[in-house]
Amino acid sequence: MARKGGNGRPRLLVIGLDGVAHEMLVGAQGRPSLLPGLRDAFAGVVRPMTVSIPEISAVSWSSFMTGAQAGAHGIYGFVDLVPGTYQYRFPDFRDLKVPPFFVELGAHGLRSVIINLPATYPARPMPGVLISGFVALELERAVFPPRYLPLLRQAGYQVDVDAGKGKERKAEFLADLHCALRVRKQVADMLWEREEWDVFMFTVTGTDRLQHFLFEAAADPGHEFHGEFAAFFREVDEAAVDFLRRARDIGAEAIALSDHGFGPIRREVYLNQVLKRHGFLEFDPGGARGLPGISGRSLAFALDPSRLYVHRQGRYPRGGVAAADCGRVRRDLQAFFKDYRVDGEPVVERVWAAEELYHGEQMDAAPDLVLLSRPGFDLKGGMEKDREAGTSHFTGMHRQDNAFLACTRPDRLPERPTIFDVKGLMLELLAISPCSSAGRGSGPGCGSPG
Amino acid sequence: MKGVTVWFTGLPCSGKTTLALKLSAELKKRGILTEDLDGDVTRKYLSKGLGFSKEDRDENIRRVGFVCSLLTKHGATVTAAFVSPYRSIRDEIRGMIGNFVEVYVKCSLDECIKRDVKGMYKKALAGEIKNFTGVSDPFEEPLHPELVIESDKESVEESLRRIIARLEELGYLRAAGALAVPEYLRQDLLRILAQQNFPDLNTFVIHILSQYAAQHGTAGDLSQSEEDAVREKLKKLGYIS
Repeated sequence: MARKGGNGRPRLLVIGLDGVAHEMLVGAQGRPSLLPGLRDAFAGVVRPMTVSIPEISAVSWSSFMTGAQAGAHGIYGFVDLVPGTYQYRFPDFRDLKVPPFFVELGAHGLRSVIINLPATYPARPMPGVLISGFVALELERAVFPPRYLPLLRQAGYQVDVDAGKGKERKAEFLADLHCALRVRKQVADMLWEREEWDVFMFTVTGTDRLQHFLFEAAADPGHEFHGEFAAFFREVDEAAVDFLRRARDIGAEAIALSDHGFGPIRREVYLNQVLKRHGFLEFDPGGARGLPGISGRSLAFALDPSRLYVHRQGRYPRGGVAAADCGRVRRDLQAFFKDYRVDGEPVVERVWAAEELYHGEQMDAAPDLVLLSRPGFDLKGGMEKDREAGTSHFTGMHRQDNAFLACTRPDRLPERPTIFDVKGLMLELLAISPCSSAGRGSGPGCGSPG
Repeated sequence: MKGVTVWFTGLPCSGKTTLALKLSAELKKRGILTEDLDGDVTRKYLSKGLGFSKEDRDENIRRVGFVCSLLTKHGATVTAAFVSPYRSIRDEIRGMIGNFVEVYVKCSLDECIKRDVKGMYKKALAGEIKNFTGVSDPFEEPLHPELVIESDKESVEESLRRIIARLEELGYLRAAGALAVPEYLRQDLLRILAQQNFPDLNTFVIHILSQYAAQHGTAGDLSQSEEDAVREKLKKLGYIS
């Protein structure tokens, strides 16, 4: 029996399911729900949710945990550039500029247990327990407090599975996903009992991994891995339902959410090749490979997955676009991508300007434009590719408009929730007044385009 | 912090001293003034000459209880591990000490015998030791202990966690990390913080916690091999190309 929170305070269970689309939960187009237990536990009140742009875990989970958009929390993608250089860097938890909810709750005397939340590596001191999720490298640095490290090692806890197996060793990959989930659940069960918590968060990322490599298996009963795909979701469902039942038994409220949705890939589109072939990007002959070889004549370049940067003077070593011309280049790019087609079909749903999406102290690092693709077109930087569009072993892609949010208090759910609403909802369920709303996403650019 | 005596009672070899020392170590880590007392020490310095008749045993416990009461009165936390088989003397020292937490370390006789590396039970069963609790002398179980530990059914870590939780529940121990700020000090703190543009303590705490990033290294300090590992993971998922 889990111990009660101090002073009869409200408690909250949060279930995070990386990349699970609303349709996957509620069923659609004649297909049944893959997570019927979870759906029923929320009495069917599950809303579609829009998320960050770009719709990737690093940005979206950062927005979830801070209630802020990237202009405030500072995480624009999995990769960025070292300022004033063309050198890639990989932002991590130390780059997050807005305190996550579990730090804010700590200031109110509340303790959180956070398991496998992406974008929280390396783990650092916090009020409770944190086991970092993707992109965690070493278990030693993924666990706070470190006293839990021997126990996690003993349990065989893995921060992530080897996604490389998803390409050609799919049966092994699936077995790894089951194993990682099983151990993660065991560890979570142990922490549920041992820790005195006010918020308990359990995140599953295998749902995202599976869909990247086997999205088509979900809908095709004849697919070699159709049964295994459903079996993994069944295991996720059982784990989620088990936590929800226990939460109900102790009178805790619960929410469940995903950080983005998913959909099938028709074509991958390699933005740097598009820019190159249409006169926006040039490389010096004989120069370095990739971005370091960019020519001073280049107007723009892209970073994964869909961020466009004007090659400005003063911001980049060989940047040639003067401040006075930036607006024009941006307008040219907007016009170009608005009409850009692959196989005769428009690729881009909307070209967002930075100031439409972001505001705050981290705006200096913002991309100039971010593309939101139409369903089926998976945008990538594609610096090393030799064509504008193609296909690969990936069959599923992220979507911005079909994540989900469910809550045991449906009366508190916004009609059209965004990922930026979730932190406020959590604080409300915990009867905590937010300390600050700085950087909160709002308006159409913060997850509710159109 | 108010003082308290945590009194571990139970059969020989039931695990009293192990738990008392574990608790003591945890309390010391938390910066709490702690003293450990057990039979081996007190019988050498405090109760030398006393035997194991009921009268002598009671006298031993009475003396130990007196020491505990002094330490407790002066704010120390005492961990005391004694067989203390008789209910009446335990109740007597409970009254003497006041802040008294009785932890009954319950363990089956078979398990105690198994754990007995000194072979005392063997000697007692052979009649070589008289008045041996559990064999030739009774152990009177506490009727209302603050906590019962079943040391043959739970791990030491689990028992320790339960003891700490009970002490927290009884108000003898604050939850780790909690800091009680007296009201007069709170007003002073708020005044000082206001001078630094922090409207309240919460905002200040958040500010401090969010500074951890700076104190624990900043991003960009990934080693080349770490960068390569991140790049590899992202590539495998198609997140970078």
